[in-house]
Amino acid sequence: MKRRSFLTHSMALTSGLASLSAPALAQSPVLRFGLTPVFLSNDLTLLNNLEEYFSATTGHKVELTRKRTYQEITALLVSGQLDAAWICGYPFIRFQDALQLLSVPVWRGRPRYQAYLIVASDRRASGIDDLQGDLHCFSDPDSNSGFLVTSSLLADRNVRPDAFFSKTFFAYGHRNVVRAVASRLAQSGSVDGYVWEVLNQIEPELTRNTKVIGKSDWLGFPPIAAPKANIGSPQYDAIQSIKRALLNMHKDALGRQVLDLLKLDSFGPPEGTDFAKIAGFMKKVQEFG
Amino acid sequence: MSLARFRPLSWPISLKIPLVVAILMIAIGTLVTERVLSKLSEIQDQNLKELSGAYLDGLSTSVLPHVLRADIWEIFDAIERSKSQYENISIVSTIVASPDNIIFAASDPGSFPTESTIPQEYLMTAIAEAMVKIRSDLPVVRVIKDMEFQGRTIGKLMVTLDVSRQLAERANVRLTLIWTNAVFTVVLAAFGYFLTRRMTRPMQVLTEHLDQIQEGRFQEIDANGIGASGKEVSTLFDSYNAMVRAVNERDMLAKTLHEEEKLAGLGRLAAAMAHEINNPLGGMLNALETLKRHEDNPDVRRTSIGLLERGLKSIGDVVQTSLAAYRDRSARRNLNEKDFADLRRLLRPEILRHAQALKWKTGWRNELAIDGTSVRQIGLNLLLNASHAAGYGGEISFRSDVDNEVLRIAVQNSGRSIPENLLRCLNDKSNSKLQLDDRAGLGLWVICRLVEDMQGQIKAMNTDDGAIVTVEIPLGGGAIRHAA
Repeated sequence: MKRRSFLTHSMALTSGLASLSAPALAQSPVLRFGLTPVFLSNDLTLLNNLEEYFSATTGHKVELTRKRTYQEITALLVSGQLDAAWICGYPFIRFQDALQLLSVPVWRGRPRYQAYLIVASDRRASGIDDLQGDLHCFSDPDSNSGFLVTSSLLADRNVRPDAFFSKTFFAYGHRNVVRAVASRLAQSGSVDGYVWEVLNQIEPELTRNTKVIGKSDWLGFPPIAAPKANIGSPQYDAIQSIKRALLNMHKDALGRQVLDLLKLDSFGPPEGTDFAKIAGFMKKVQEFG
Repeated sequence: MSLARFRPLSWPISLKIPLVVAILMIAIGTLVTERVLSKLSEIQDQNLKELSGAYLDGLSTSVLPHVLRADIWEIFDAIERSKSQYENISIVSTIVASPDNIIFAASDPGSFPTESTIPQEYLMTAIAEAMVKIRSDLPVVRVIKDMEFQGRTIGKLMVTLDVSRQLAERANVRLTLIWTNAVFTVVLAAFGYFLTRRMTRPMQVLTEHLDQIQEGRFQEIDANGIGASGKEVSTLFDSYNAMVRAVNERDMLAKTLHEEEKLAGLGRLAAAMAHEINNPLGGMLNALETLKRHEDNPDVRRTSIGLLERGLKSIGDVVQTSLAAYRDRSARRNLNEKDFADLRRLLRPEILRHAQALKWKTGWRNELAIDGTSVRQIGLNLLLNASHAAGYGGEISFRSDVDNEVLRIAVQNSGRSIPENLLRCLNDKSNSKLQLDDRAGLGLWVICRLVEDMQGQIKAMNTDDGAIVTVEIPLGGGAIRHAA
């Protein structure tokens, strides 16, 4: 019943996934962990360390899966083809009926982050209203900070992005948004505040050409989620081991290396994380059309 | 310096050969430089064509699916990634645009914003892949390529390449070639100069020795001293030295002959003087003997004294003639009309003694620029000879005039004519007249020698009644003053 309900839900949400099924998960001895482009860059060191850490702490062979878009990772996760994934708050809210939270990253002491509006560093602009008619770069249509927040701001002004901006495009990666604005390919961009701040630390030559002209409220940090369908299944213990590995990452030397590369404090428990504002943005945008 | 004086053909060979070498080297250097630069340009063009073609083909392949979707970011990202893949070409900018030149993305979005149109200047200067060629006046080459998909043009790629490195390379190669050619030209010209100097050194030595010949010095060439090792040069020097030795020997012989001739001449002079003195001397001795025997006879005494007087006068004449002939010529003076007046006065006793008639005509006055002493001596001898030939009661004519810078003295006498052999000898223009035998008398010998010294000439001819001797002497040493 639950499986049928999950499949129905998946088919309704994700086109092209009608033929997907979950049974393979229970038989798989491999833990499959998905990563969205929320990641900073193609840092092989980070991927290797993460894979090594998960394998060492869970006792399972861990396979990291990376896709270009949020939609692809979300679909794989919701369809049960991934055991867990680091996704954005927006898709989590959209598919929260099918997903369970495992952990939420803690950045600068809190499991929260902001969405930024950025422009070229030499441009005179102080808010979104100055960006009308821009060629604007979004990160991903399923990104909270990289699309939803800005769309919500515009919805507040009763205007859709394609009407407010002269043209928009998606760069499918927050780092790409920063690159697009820094190179003046785009006149403005919607970006993850955490990514911009971390880039400002590790690649200041990139962010130097951009400046932040708008910050959103503090929002729930992109969480690590798992399909609810696995609860009670033989794979559930393995998924719980991933959760334990995440929550204890800051206590392990290799885990601290991973956290240091990500510039995060730790991975905390999901309880108490507020995604209500994101849900509000989604509702506003959906209602505005 | 006028062009007329600029005559390269007259330059020394030691300068002409290095100059020709330099000109040839410059010509060859220019040709080589042109060919090298031309080839370098071809290679650079071909290289750039291949690199730009590879770049555009690769970029076209990577951006084509994104162009189909008008995916701005992916097009931009592909352009960015391609930069690192084609580091061996200097890309100034890359533009990906729609078929109607609307830009999707460019490597420098600040200069070529998305949604703007490719600048018209870029479109005008862009060339197709196959036409890639570096122009020396443009530091960039702009190449354009259409992107085709299923037979339709879906977009354009335009890349601007910085070719300043290639141009700098050409300039560097050109400069290197010019410097190299210049150095080689100078070195080879200098080498040619020294080699030519060395090769023509024997000729210079020969020329110097030939120049010395003109100054009268015949010196042999020391072939060892100049290192003339060539067989031809050694043979030439040997021949020259043999010639010099032969000439020197001939000169020595000539000098010896000249000395002998001088002695012979002196002998002839002494013999002539002895002859001239001996003739009256015999008469005088006879007269003295007659006077001793018949000193009481007044007629005999008068006749003998007369004979003695004439004999002494005759001897005096010989002495006077010799003095005139060999007097120091350093005290040269011009001929004055008084000299001829003196001649007439000197001749008067002879004329009176032989009851001869004298006609005298001088066609000039005052002074002539000619050796007066010599002319006076010539005139005196001619007149004495004429008086002697005219005999008792004969006629003598003396005429002198100046014509065309020539002093002409003509002395004519009646009576005896000039013997044929003497006549031939006088009219001969060679030096043979200096070799008049002693029978001709000292007077004629003196005349011939003086006339010869003064570059004059003697014309002698017999007439129906006597003979006429004409002496022509060119004036010299100054203009005729107060000529009549």
